[in-house]
Amino acid sequence: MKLRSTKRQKESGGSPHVDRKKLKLDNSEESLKKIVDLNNDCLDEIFSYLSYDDLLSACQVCQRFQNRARNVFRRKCHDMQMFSVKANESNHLLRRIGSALSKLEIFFCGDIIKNQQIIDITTKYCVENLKELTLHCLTKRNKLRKSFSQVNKLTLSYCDMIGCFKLAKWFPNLTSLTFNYTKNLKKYMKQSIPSMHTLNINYLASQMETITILLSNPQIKNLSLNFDAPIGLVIKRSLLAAIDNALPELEALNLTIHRVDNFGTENSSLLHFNSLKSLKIESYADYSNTALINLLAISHTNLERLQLRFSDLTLDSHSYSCITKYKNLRELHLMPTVDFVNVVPWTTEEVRSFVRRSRQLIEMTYIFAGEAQLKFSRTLASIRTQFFESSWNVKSKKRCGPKVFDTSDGVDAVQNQFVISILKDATLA
Amino acid sequence: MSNMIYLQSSDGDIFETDAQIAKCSGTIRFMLEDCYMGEYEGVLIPLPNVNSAILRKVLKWADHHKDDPVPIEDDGHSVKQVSVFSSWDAEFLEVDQGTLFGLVQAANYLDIQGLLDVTCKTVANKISGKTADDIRNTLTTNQNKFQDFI
Repeated sequence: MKLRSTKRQKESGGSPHVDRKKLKLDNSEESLKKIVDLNNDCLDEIFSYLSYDDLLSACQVCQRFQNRARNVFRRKCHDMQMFSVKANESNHLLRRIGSALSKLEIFFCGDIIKNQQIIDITTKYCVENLKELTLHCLTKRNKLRKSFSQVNKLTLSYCDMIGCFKLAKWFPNLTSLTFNYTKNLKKYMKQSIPSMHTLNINYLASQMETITILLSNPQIKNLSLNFDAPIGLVIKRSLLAAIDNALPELEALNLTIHRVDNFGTENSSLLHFNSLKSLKIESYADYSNTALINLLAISHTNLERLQLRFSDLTLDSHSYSCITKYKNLRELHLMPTVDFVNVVPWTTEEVRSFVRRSRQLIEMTYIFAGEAQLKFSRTLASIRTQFFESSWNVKSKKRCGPKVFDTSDGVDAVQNQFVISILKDATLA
Repeated sequence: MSNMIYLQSSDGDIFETDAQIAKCSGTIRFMLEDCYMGEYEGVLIPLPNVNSAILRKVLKWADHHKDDPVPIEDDGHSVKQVSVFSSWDAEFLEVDQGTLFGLVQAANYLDIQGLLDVTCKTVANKISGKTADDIRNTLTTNQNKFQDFI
């Protein structure tokens, strides 16, 4: 045994007798400690071992317990097994705290009756304050009996055959709709949802389905498309043309392109996107996508905000000249990928000359992924030198990146980012 | 080679212990490796949040578990380590509630995941299967400690 208590202050202090006495005293003091003296971390840790029924009991002990139990409950919701296996317990919990929930995520299981039970409980107890609803793995025709009048944000993940849901009826105030890997949408896509102005589609099944829903909803202002093309599927320029035609009011367009062979080379009419104010393109392809920049660099007279994530080799001086065409650009965000650690997209001289020539520009940002710290430091030093004693301020910070829907384990992953901002000095402007 | 260090509890007692044992605590490991740059022979670390009785228990636990495999870091994803709840642990945790909560708090403060797991599981077992009233009665004799009843 290597531990022994020693009293350095007193030469003779280490006698067993004194120690025991001291220990006894400590214990009597210690027994005053209550579970409520523990911090939230500890309570959460303890509660994470409880079943839903026990969490439910804990909810009723005191307000703090209820808060902690809800917190643990929210985290447990992310575990698909919990809901499919313990459907009955979740029913009790929803009955108890459902009316207080503003966000709810439901994982459905293979059992139709259980699924229907959860839907019934949800529609009965959770409609009052529910603003955001996420449904995973809804596979069979389950009926909604009551509309979710407050829900404005709906996410459907891995759902199949939900053709019987008339979204505008059951979600009368829906403003934002997100699909993640949703299948068999053909019939479903034809519906019009007048209140919806934001549509996000992650991992498109087919372009036809996308175009159908766009044509039915010309009021859409924000559109995000995430292409994860299986081998051979080429993202066609015709899709962009279709978006352009279908959505005259489109203000923000986000495109994420994974593993796309090329962007098509067909010749057709100009793209207009007359209302477009914000454009974001993220490409994870590891070769030149200059064709894509070319196509998009045509007539964006109103574009105010441009975010680009390309591999470094793509952001060459050609893309630079394309971007200078956006006369009203106010914000430019560049996100170099980490593949080529030593290359900076554009030389810092080019950046400087670009910033000077763009009259409307108030902000330009470089965003680096967390693993590219070295590259970040080099670029920062170089940019600081270029903009030293000018009317532009250079700032840098570390921040949490946006949530990325990670397809490998179905949870939202957050990554760190390093940011360099070049901001117009407001006092001089 | 043994590297002895000294830990000082909140009430001033000083405990001599092997650095390897103390390093099961993430907090102490961080101090030894980052603050003392690995040269920590004979250093004194004050632990103002842990009293002597609790620290003695913690060191006893750490000594018994010093040969446990180091849990694998799973880049950010907190996959719950399936910690074996040995009969030694069960006996070790047959203590009054004050001591048990003290151990939970110390394990959290000292960042000892294994001890946190077993102590929290023990507390959870005390709560499990009880009604709200039972929980109140079990976990405290002084009901006023639970503010704001529902």
